[in-house]
Amino acid sequence: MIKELFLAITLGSILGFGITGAFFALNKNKTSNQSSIQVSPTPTITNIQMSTQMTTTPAVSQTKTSTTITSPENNSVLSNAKISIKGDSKPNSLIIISTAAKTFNGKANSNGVFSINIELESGMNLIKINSIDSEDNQEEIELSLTYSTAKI
Amino acid sequence: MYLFFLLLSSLIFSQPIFAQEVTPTPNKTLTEEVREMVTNKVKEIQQTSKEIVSNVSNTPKSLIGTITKIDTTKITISYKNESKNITLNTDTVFIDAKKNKTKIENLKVGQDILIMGYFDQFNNLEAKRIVITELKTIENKNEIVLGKIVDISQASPVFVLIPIKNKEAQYQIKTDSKSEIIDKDGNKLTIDKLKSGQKIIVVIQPDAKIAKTFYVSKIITLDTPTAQIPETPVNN
Repeated sequence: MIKELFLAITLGSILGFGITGAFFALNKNKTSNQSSIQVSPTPTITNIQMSTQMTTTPAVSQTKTSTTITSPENNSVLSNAKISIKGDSKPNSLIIISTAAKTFNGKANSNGVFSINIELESGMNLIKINSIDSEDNQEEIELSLTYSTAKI
Repeated sequence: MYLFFLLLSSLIFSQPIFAQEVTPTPNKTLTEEVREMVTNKVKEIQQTSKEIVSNVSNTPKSLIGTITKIDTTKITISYKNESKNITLNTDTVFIDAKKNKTKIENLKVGQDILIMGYFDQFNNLEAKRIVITELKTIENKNEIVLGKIVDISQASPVFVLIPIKNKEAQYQIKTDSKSEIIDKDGNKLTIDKLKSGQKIIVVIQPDAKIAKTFYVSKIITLDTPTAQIPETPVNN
């Protein structure tokens, strides 16, 4: 009886240590695989890197996919009613410019550059500039321009 | 007993593995990368600030808003939940709604004003001219929608448009003789050229008289209808 008990404990211990050893070896292998990928040591750090990149990405890469107005500047006071809205968008996008009173439309060239003549109303003009690309993506920018002949 | 041994062994052997994971060597590289990014961003912001300062000091700028605070040297305005400070001086000209010259005493909290002047280095607008106005008169109510005609009435100048990027929305659109209809090359079209299934861009604004109906001032057709969608009666 004591012999059998002793045998059972010994076999159990061997089996137990065997499984533990296998578990240890597996874990070690996994760790060495992870440390070989030096760029992202742990998932947490990878996340930090990603979020940092997202918030600090230079504006240049964002402007590639969005519409920007190069002239005139927002909130400008202009002494001519007839002006050109110049900007960049995606190539061949349709550009629709809407003042409170009138709507003007044109097209960006193959480089995405556009220049569209519009006419301002006297005083403040809240202008909506929409660009629609070939994939039907629509973007809207608002621009405030004041037309005044008064001496400022 | 066996389980106890197993658990004890697992705990003993697995602890050092976690310790190795927590101390990765590339930490310094990450810090340097972040530092570099921050430095670049600061430089970028400094450059932009310089450009803004050099531009704003030379060209006249304008702002609109509702007066929230006023004294003899300064006005605070609010527009779209953003406050701006306006500085006044002896040269500032005040114009009332009838385009006559007026005095600062006639400006009150709650009044809408248009300010023209020059930004100083603190981003305050030094007012040269202040015009009493009404925000609702300069509001741009136009909405530009890209969509497909899904239903067009033969009896009345009304059609239904579903936006390309929002199939859940629906616009009931009314045309009249002043509505301009053109193709994408700028050629003028008549209303009878509009068909169901056609992709168009519309410049619309809410109809003051009929709820949930929009008046269209401009229609730009982008293609000829490809698939004829069965027509259903339009609610007039």
